Amino acid sequence: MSKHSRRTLLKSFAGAGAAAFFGNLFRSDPAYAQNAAPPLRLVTLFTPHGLQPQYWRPQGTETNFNLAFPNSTLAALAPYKDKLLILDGLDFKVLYEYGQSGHEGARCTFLTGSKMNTGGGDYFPESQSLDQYLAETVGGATKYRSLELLAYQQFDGQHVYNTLSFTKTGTRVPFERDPNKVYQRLFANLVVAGATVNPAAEAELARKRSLMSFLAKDTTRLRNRLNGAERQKLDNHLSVLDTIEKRLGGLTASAGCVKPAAPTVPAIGDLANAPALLKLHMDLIAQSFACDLTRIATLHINAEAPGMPWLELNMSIHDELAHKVTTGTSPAQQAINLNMNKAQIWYTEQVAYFMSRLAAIPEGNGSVLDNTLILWGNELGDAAGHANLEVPTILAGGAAGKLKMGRYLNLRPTTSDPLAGWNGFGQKAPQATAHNRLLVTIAQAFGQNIQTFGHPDYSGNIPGLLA
Amino acid sequence: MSAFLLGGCTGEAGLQFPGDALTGSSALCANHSDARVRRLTREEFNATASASLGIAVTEGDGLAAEDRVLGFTNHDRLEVSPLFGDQVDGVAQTLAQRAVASITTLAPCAAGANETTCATQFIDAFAKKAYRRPLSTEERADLVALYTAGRTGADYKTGIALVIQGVIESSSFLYRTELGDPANTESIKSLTPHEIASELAFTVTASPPDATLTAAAEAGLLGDPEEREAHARRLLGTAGARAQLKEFVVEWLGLQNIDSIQKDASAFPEFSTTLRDSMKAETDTFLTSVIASEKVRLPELLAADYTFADSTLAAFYGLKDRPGTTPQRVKLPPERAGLLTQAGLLASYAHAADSSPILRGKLVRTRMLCTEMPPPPASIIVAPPAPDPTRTTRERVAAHTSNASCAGCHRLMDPLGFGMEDFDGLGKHRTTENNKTVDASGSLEGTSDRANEGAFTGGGELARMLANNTDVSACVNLQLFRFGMGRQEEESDQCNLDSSLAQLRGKELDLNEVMVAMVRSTGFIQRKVVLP
Repeated sequence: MSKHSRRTLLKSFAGAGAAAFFGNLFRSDPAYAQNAAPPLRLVTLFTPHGLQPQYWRPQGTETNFNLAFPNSTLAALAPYKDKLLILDGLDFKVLYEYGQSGHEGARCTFLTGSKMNTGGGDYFPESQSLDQYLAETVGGATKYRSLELLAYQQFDGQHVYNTLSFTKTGTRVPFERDPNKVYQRLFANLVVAGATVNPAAEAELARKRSLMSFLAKDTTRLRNRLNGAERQKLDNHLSVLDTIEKRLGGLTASAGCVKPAAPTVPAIGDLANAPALLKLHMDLIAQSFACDLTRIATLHINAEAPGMPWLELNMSIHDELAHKVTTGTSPAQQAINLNMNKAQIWYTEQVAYFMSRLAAIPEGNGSVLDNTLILWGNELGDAAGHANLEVPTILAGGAAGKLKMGRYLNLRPTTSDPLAGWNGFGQKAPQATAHNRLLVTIAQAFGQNIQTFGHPDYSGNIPGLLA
Repeated sequence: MSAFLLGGCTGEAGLQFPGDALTGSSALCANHSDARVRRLTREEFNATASASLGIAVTEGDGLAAEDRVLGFTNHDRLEVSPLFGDQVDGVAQTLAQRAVASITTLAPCAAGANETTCATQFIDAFAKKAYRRPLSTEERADLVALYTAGRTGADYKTGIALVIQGVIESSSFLYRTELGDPANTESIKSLTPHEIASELAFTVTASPPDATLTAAAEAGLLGDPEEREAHARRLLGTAGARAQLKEFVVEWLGLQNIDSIQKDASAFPEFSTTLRDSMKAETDTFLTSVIASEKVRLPELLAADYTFADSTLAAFYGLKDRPGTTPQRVKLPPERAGLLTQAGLLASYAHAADSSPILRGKLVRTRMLCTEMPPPPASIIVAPPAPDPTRTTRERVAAHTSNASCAGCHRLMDPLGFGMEDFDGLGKHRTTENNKTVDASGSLEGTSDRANEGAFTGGGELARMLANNTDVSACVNLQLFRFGMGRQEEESDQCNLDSSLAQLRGKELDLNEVMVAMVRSTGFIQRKVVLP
């Protein structure tokens, strides 16, 4: 079908709102031209419980810090020091200033900057997560606006302990946990640059375009009958159709794109396979970046219940370790602390592995890692309690030069006591830095001109992060 | 906005019980909720695709799993996310290819006939079933154009396949509408006859309306509650309705978690995946059996004196019978009764290495008595009590939760959970723990049914007490409402909740009666228009 007849079809039904979604309907170009600057990507990683101050905090100063001391949690990241921006003293203020806390709160707020809505006994945020926001604003440049992945599932399905990504209406965005299905979705039908397109494929493509036009008109018809949150559901649906339509034609100009072989995936329900599954997910993200299939990926590393047998930690990490770490010095307490640190060191090693995979893909004058921003966040600050003060947050990668990497920042410079000047839950903590401001900073790094993200109480970016 | 929210568990004066629903104000009864659309669940997708295409469709199983709201997966917040949209695209293509393999029966076209005419006939018949309503003129034209686009340069089969794909990916397939007639300009509208038929069928059976129900809709009969009741009762006897009611019980009590029970091997050397499979088979077979009865009585679910066990489970329960590898009906000893003391449930609501009075107490208090428990205050460090080989679980937990800032809420949960301490974390019956005698005395307090609360000892007694407590029937009524309507209750639903509760209690606590009452209600067929 020629472009002319598609335009005619559009005019007959597109309202003002609908037109915005079809802005890319005619795109069949590669995702970014070979001579343009490589794009910035965001990968969000999330681990449970938090890190222990005596083991995770780098030693040294802002620009001259050491990760190689005994029992250092972040030791595996030492080779990447110039590509780290370590944030100490970032708080989930939106939780505790509103009297909330905990595991559920952390997952609701980490990417949304929202407080929790606990009506009905469940836990939902009240606004969109950063990855979905970026998927909506910048994700349209690629075939998949974003990827949401889960390494290992606790409890079942889309559950408050598994989900990090939320839509505008605060509903959970489903994740994929089977690397084979991720591969099938991203790569099975990928046509790499230089492949000849045969007439049968051309005809199939034309049929597919007709289908997408039909669906866009059909879905818009229902959408126009709705208002409020119901209309938003269908707007989200239209955005999905737009993304599928853009993907038709399958050519990519990414120099580093090699269609990978299908992965061999071990049984996904078996906890012992969690490390292998996690690596497969990380490999798939790296491959999707190499082929510029997406630039926004969220990977929830949740592999810790009821134990981490590959580390010989055969106890409930939550019950027996995380909630028992203290600064006590008895041998029994030290054993608990060191076991917890074992798990946390393993998390760091996974992040280091991921960085090495990105570093191995050439791009521009360097590698994909140079143009990636990894946001590694944690659930809690002090794992013993459920407070979300001083949640260890590590940014990594070259961030395409948008952030000044290679630094260790304490965002509570005036005091080392996180509770000083704070009168408790439900009260403001003026000297703390709200994590919303990090979300704003990242959005600004992606060229979005916003001053708040999530709850409006917290505005501005974190000074000194952006280049 | 639940009627049962506690403000921080601060005292009896603040408590509202489900039983209070009987005295709700009818002035608030508005008999309508907001107009909306509901995305199909995977199960509904399979059923609708199967019914429309005349083939057995299970490909929906591979679509992204639903999340849970208030414990249920069939809520009205389901969306077409990017992942779901991609998956449906793939599934629709697969189903189209499967279906056109039998093109001569699916979309017959006699030799010499005009293919577009054949296609149009197919479109009318197929889309009507798939969309659960007739097509508009514009929709028909669009689908014929889609057929033509597929036919061009190819063949009739390719054109029909493209139509099938388009219909399955259509918003009219993927969503159930509760909007009423667009030409009706009133602010509170009745659903269209086809929407009523859809809502009735999907609520009761998780599948689309059959021909009989559609015919009644088109004859204008479904505005009459008697007619709706007749169809509901007819459908309640079908396999789809049985499966739907079973799914309700599974989701209501969180029984899907039995699949993922993991235990600490040193604490529970008896645990194995074989035992877990037997536990799952028990609950599954028991539910199937009770729900197959003409009346699905709540007391039977909660306090039956029998269960279905295979040899592994029978040995685990200390029974003399050895029924074999498939579960057979066996009589239970008095310490066990109904669902609450089945090993799978008890082991799910427990920790890896021990039991959990708090998880079990919370299950009963929140899911069976519908009392909302707020999360622990942010200021409290919530860590489980340290293991102690000289104390029982009860002793450890009680020392933990009896302090003043915890007791306000914990007194609603702990006495229930303590009373189930005659079952360890694997669901095995015990009389000692760490060489001390187990104290399984408990109490059910804070209900509005004083005749059926108070002191009890052990899970079996609790189960029998709950089976008779009227707050439990009120709670199950509410849970079925949430499940059937796919949303949380509002104040304006009070009168409908009152009616269905009265019907449930008047008819031997048969859960089917709640479905019937729901379908009869005016609120079932009326929606308020949402303005921009």
